[in-house]
Amino acid sequence: MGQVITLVSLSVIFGAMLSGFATFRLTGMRLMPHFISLILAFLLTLASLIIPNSIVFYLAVIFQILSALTICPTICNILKTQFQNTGIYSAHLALMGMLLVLAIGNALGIR
Amino acid sequence: MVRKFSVKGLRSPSLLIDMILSDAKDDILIVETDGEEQIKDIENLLKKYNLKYEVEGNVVKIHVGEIKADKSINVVGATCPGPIMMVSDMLSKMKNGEILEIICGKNALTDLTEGLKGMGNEIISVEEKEDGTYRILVKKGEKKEEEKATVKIDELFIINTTGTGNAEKAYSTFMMADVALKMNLKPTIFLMMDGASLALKGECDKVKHPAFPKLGDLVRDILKKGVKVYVCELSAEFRGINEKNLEEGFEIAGAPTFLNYLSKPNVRPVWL
Repeated sequence: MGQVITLVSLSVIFGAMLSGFATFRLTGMRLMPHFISLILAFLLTLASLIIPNSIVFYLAVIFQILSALTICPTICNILKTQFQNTGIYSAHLALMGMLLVLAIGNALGIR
Repeated sequence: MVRKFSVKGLRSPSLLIDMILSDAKDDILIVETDGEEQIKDIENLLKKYNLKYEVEGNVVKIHVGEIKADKSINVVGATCPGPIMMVSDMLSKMKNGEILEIICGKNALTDLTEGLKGMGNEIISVEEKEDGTYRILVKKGEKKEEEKATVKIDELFIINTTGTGNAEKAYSTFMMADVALKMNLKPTIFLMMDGASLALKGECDKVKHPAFPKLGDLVRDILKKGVKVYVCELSAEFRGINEKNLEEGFEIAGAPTFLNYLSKPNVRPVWL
């Protein structure tokens, strides 16, 4: 069960990377810390599926949570000043919301 | 009263103006001249009498005493399109040639002067008062039907509706203005809808594409070259942008300014 959740997290991160890249291209280079955190979360989640090591697993969880948090300032700014463009960001935003819940599920040890 | 006359061809126009000034009281004299030499002659006379005047091209506007307005309206605090609607309503009840005094805030100043001019009225004077409000005197007129003629397009009106959410369009807004200047076209930028986000202090500095300079630097360069950047008042209001967090050099304007530009025959709008 735990591995299934990790696998779902991995797929959500991969989807988020694709939708994030679309918005990243649109806004220039404004999502750097978020994008780096997302790539690291992807690599660590992938590694945690292959390597049975709790440090790698918890690092993956930390970066999954960080990825969801680092998008907050950008989204807040967009909601405040460019809300007519929010449709473009909605796919990425939905995946980030899912990732946060899955990361909490992983951290609580629902296995 | 507003009086218009021409001194074209006169060697010393100051002699004629001196005579007119002797019986002028609470007037605005609009003097059409041949050019620099006549203006200098008139200026010397006006300095002697210590009178207020403005020079616009070949026209000298002389203010004698305090003009009495037929009606007065205060639109301080009203948000676009409130001021122009209140003023138009008042003007519609007035006769041609009557003078209306408008007291307004800085936000409505451009809208009222541009909008009323576009409607065929004449702006007699604009004064800043001590409390930061403005006093505009406008003479009611009617829009004249213009004859059809070929017009050379020499101005660009660049409208951005996407803001920093679309970096490419944000860059092209200011780059196009730069190219227009080089092509001897006068560009004016109008930021509306999400485009207003570009007017938020420091927002343009966050946009940087590896191939171009920082957007903020580009904006400052354009402003230095004298390009006007207007921000839609309504869109700014929606996004919490006001005089306090507005980028330096940007100006808040509203629907009358926007529509006035679009209705000019020599202006080509560019939507981004």
